[in-house]
Amino acid sequence: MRPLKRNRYLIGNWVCLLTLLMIQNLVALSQSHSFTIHGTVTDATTGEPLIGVNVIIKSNEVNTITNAYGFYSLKLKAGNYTVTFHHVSYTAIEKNIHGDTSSRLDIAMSPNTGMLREVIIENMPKKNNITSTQMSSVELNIEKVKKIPSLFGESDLLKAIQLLPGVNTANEGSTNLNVRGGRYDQNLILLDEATVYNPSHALGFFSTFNADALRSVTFYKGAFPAQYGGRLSSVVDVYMKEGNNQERSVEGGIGLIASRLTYQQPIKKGKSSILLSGRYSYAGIILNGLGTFGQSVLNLSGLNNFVARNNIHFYDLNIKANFQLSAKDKIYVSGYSGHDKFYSYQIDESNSLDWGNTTANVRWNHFFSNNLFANTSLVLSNYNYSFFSEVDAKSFIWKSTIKSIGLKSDYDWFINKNHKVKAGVSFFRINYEPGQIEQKDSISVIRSFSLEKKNSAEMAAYVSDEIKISKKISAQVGIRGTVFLNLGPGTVYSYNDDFSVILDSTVYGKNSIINNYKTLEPRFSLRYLLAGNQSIKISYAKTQQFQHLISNSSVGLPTDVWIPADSYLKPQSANQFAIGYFRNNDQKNLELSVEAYYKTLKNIIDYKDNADLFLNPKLETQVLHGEGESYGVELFISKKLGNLTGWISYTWSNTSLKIEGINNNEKFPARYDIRNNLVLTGVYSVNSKWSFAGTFKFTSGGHVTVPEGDFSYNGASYNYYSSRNGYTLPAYHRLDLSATHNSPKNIHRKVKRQWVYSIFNVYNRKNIYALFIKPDPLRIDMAKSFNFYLYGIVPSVTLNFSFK
Amino acid sequence: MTIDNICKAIFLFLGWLVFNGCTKEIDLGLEKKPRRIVIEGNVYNTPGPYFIRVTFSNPALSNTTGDGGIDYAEGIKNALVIISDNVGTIDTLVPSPDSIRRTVKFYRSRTSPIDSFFLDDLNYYNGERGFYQTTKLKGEPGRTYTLKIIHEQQEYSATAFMPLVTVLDSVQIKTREFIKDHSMYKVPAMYFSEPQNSTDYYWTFVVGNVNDPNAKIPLLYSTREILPYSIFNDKFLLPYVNGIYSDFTYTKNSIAVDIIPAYGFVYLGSLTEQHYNFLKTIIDQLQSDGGTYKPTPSTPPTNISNNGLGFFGASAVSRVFTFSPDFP
Repeated sequence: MRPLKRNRYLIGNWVCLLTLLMIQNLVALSQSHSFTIHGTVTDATTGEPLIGVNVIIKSNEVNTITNAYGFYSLKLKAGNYTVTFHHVSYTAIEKNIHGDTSSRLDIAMSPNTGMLREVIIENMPKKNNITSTQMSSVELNIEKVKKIPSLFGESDLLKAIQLLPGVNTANEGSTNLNVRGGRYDQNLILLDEATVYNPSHALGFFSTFNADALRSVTFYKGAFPAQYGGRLSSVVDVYMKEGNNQERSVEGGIGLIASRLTYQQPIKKGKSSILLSGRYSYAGIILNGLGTFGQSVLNLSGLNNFVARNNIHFYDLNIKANFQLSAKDKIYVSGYSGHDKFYSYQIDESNSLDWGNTTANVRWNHFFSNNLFANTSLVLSNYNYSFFSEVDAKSFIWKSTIKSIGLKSDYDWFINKNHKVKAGVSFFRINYEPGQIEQKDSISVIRSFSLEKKNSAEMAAYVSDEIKISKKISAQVGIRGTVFLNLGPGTVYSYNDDFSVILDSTVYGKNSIINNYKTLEPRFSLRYLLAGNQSIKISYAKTQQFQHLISNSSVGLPTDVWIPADSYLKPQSANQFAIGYFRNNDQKNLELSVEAYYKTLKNIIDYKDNADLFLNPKLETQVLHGEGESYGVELFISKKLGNLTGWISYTWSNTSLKIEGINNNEKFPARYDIRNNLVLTGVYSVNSKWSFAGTFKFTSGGHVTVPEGDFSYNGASYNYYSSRNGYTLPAYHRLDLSATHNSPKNIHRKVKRQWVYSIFNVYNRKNIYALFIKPDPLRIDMAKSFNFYLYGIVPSVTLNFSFK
Repeated sequence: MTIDNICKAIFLFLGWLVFNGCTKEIDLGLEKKPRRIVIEGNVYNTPGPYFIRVTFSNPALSNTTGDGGIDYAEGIKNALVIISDNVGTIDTLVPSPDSIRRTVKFYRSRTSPIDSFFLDDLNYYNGERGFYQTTKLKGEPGRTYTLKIIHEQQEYSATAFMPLVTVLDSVQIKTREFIKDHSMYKVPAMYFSEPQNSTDYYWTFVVGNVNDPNAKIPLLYSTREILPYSIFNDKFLLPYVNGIYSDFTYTKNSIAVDIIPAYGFVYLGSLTEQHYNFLKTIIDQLQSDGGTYKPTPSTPPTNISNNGLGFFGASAVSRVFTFSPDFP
């Protein structure tokens, strides 16, 4: 009972604190004679709303930041002010305002070009990274992401995030994110507020995000704002472009493995627009062609076993439209559909896969008043896959789906210069079809079978207040409460102590509550401004995750199954503390941050050795529970302006897990426990014609389980193993370079062209993708270890084009 | 340079660079640990003797124990090996004569037309093999067998239950396509009723060139490329299994081989869940991808006590004699 009482006590404290804050606001409001300026900030060339524009009153150091829809509001005492609108990629705008009546001030900002940069630097006051209370987050510039050298020239958002501090990945080539010691399934990946359950194409080699269709990306690795919930370790909040409402534009690209096309068109100039964007990959055709060529013409020994039967292709389709209904109302309709077909003889000769994500979203923006902005969204997400076993007599099709539909409403209340409240509610219904198999054809001896469907409902409410306590101190205090219901129909089994015998079962009817969880997640961050463009921040966040990804591979597969927390699989939870030092050097245009974090994870899952996860209706009998711990220090130096932009990132971290039933119940390093992680990335614009980019990454090796020895059985040798993840792999490093050429003739061309030449893995480093240990065919008295590496040096060329 | 030539040059360059090898040998530098006792053997419901093999493991991955017809495992002689059952039989096993040898089960392949050969004929290894055989034990479904081995004051034990097996109705020889290269090979298809009210685990194998109905099951021999048996469970099997293949277990580097020689027995054997899991794990090891898309590798789950390795099993078998009339 004690923990419950303590919990209630804490909840009481939070409620009291928030109530006091509200009262303080009301008192302040009643006493002051004030007026409000508010409006939206957009890109002058496209009409896209701009997120994160710093709106600053220079005379009294008041500022606010535009929200995801470009909205801002500032409450001021009567008087004359100069308002500056600043965004790192746009020319700053200053406006003089006079008076004491509230008014709307919409701003259209022009992208930076040439000499205007100097003006920006001169006028720029303290930047967001110093003044904001938010820490452990990064806003990525999509145009910069496109310039980072990439595999086969295919820009990849998630791989760009892998270059940030605090982010590791267990496997070369994968788009997985292991953020501050979290597993890759602990990341909330949102596309226009809809969850993307599997953000990868081609078994994780490419992400589902077509950079041409994206407007903004914010990545949080700690101190999550209270509006985000449902995942433990990170949030990748991606917004699609709204569509150019100023003029028609077309852009696209033809690459080695994929091509893309994006079309934007005003429906009513300045008011509404539509965007259509598509990408199609023909990776399998290219792979077959190159493999056959290498095998038959070049006689490459590495391709002796190559079989040109790969069928790998995928597409992405983004569509979005927005309509300005009135000065106070705007509607957005957006959708995404992506689908993969994957058959690779080299990876799995007897099975093939289909999988795809679909998201859809209808959002309504409404200004209730000049300082209260609301967004209400109807959100749909769907992920499904099919697995085709081609083994004749045992052939079958295996299907699984997860779909969620929900309604959420978020409110931004710019109360006054000292308080900015964000609050919201959401309700989501999630349906899981963990798996069913069907006979593929009449000769199959496999019978059809279906696992019990699962249903859950997740209701959440949150409130947070960004409080300016003094000129130097500001805080963000928030709390998120969630009620999670596991709903029938369903059957719950009870077992003996070691889960080997079913003792009883309980059957639940449709929509009856099988079990429920109620959680509170406090979020807190505090910023203290130091003299000379410096600040210190601390933060704490508790996060809960009510879904588990059942996956028994290190890299993750499309066939991994999402299931809800239930009577046996408790919700995962994490507590994260962080402290950071932030400093800017305006002369050299540098931003520096050093953050240290400590994170604990509870109720994480792993599996028994040789677990049977395939369509197992009693998964709880195969699962083991445990906890994790991660801590580290991250250094980030970035340069966002000037001819040379980029960043240096360094992370020192330690991540260990402790799972009952694994490694003799002793702690062991996570596979993605990577001690040192250094990234240097930069883009240098020589002139309007040429720009060059490079990325160098060095990490310590991850951890794998290797044999202690081998033994003979039936005349062949098999390995036996000792400690889990007890072997540290060699260090990983790679250099990628690219050059972008814009023809001077583009000025006169209707169709403007851009060539991107890139070399991935310039010095042909054979980084470990997988480790094999097998007898040496030449010296049969010795077993040997082999590093399987994905690629050597990979050059590519991409043609981008655009026209109006 | 014409556009065609530029394309050819780019293609040549890419082909060379992207596929300039996919594996590279590395030295793990592992620490050498003490060696462990390995036990393998099965009791069947066919006439004995049944064989138990006792060997040492090879620590630190040196001196591997087998590959392509070579078995280097160091056998243990002078061990006390006893099998008892739950009806009072106690059988102290005796060392097998040198004539006992594993029969290689691969009959023919298109690249290497082998009929069959005996392991010892290759003369790769002349050391102690560590085979012991029963003298009087009779395997019966439903019985439990206990193995006890004493070696250098250490005792190792294991218990194995022999599950019932469904009766094979018939076997037909089918021609099957090998996925890798589209080559065709011959494989027996088994027909039987699958009990739906129990959870059953099976393995299946073929013993060729034998027509004696009282023949014992010989020692199975496998390589790192092909296992001469396959396993399956009844999780999704229809009540009547209308032709499931008695195939080998292949790995990526395998070549297609005909399963059935001119004549022989096709076996369907019962397994306990524990035995099935052991065999499944060693198959997973053979088909490992280095731990990327497959689970973290683990030691095959043994039923041998005292830190032993391997598995002691008991399997009831049902068999059908068949022949392949057009075998070359």
